Amino acid sequence: MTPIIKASKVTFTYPAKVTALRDINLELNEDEVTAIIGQNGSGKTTLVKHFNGLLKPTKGEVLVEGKDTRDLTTAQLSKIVGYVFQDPDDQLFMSKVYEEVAFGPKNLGFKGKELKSSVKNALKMVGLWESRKKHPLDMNLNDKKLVTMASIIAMKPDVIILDEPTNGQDHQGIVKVESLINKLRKEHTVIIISHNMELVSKVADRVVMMYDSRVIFEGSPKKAFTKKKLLNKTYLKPPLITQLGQGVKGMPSDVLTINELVKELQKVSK
Amino acid sequence: MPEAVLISYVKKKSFFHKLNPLTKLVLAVCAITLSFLLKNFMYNLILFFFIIPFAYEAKLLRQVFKPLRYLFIIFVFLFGIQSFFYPFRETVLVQLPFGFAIWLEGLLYAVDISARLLVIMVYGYLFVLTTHPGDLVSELKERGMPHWLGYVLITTLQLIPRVTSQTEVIIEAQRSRGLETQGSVIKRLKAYTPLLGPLFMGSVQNAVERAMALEARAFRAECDKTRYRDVKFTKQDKLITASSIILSIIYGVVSWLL
Ligand SMILES: Nc1ncnc2c1ncn2[C@@H]1O[C@H](COP(=O)(O)OP(=O)(O)OP(=O)(O)O)[C@@H](O)[C@H]1O
Ligand SMILES: [Mg+2]
Repeated sequence: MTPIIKASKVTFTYPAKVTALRDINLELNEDEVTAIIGQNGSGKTTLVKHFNGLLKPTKGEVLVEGKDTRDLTTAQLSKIVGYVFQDPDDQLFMSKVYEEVAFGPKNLGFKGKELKSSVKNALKMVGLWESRKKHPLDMNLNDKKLVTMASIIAMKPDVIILDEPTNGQDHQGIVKVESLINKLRKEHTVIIISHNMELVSKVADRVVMMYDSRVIFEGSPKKAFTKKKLLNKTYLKPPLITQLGQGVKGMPSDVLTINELVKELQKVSK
Repeated sequence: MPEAVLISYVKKKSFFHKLNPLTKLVLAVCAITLSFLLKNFMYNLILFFFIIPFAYEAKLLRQVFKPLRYLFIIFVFLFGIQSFFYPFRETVLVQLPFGFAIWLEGLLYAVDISARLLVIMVYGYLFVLTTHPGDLVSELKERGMPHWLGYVLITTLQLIPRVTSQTEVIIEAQRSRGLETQGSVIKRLKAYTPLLGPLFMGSVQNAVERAMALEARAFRAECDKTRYRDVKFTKQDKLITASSIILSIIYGVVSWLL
């Protein structure tokens, strides 16, 4: 399988002379959910901004569907890679939810029925079709975030990047995001950036761990959460269930779900 | 263009930086006033080069002179128009076909204005580059400017950098949603139009939020206010302010007497 996104030896320095990525090598496969984790300032956002061409590598190269991002504009790449910003206030700029969601597809040349149906689908998917006439900036954080997601979903990109989709959300918001990711994964390659390890353990096929502008681990979530030293380094903790498993003598250290935990506990108690 | 417009305070350790904002302001105002009063461009050029030791001491030589390259376009127009069409032309310098000519008076006039512009720019730059807006406002308040006016002044000074960074954020958002903002001038102009709405809305919202934050921190409390930035007017400041004014007068008079 050829990777849909491939980064080779990517180094990136901001104009303000901050080096936010150092020698990143990464391959993301089609139809997988990849979670990028790591402490604040480790370079996660900078990395994914390379995938839709908002940033271009200072050294090295990023290939999206085999094409070098330096040869394409962000607008052209937006057909393939949709990026949902970390801060919804940085992304929302129209005065109606409907217009906000329609902005992307219009730029891609969607017209008439196709346009309407893509906007409607996207808004229904995030459960905000009823709010389509509201002003995006008047909504609460949960809903703002969902509008930004809908505005990308409506563009039907192959890859959808969600930058901290559960950041600042209440429980209900987190549940919504989780079910949304599960819907999205059927048709898209999904990349999430998250500090919510519960969410990562539930949805991710693969985990990329970042620390100090570098990728320090990539592999399955099961494996990732057993890497205590690496996790500590970047101030992360495995999900509670995994920690529980790791605390009980005789149990494997890579328990991820409640079901697994129950099974393992039964084994131990026998 | 941006660099020339968006020049702002650069922190450096130097004697010049430490001077009182008013001292630096007096120096700049003296030089700029002089540039209008001096007899001819030679004196302005001397004044222009006179900034070098100051800029050098402030460690900002490059920053002071580099933005001048944007003046180049203005100079081209200035010389182009004045040397052909200066109204008080008398002496032909070069005769061209079709009755056109380059006139000596026009050329001299253009040189005059250019030299004056150079002086205004570098002294203005040096002031802005070495003066923290906070220090300036603090000092002006010390000298009796009302509290609220100080706030208005400082927010205005911050306006340009804020608007530019907001513009960049919105452009990023629009590019990520398939709007082509790179390429021909027309394409770019088109891209900037949908920007105006959100930018304006954002500013209004910002202002409302700011007002609340200010109220929450007792901005309008009626009492004497202390300052975080304490600016002193030292002996050196007195000396430099006085000599700026006196030397300027002497230089101006000398230029007309010689
Ligand atoms: N526009 C910028 N100019 C200069 N430095 C920047 C800029 N944006 C980010 N940085 C710096 O680059 C580094 C990586 O930032 P980045 O936003 O990629 O981190 P992150 O992993 O997404 O963090 P967070 O979890 O807080 O979102 C940080 O040190 C940050 O301060
Ligand atoms: Mg981030």
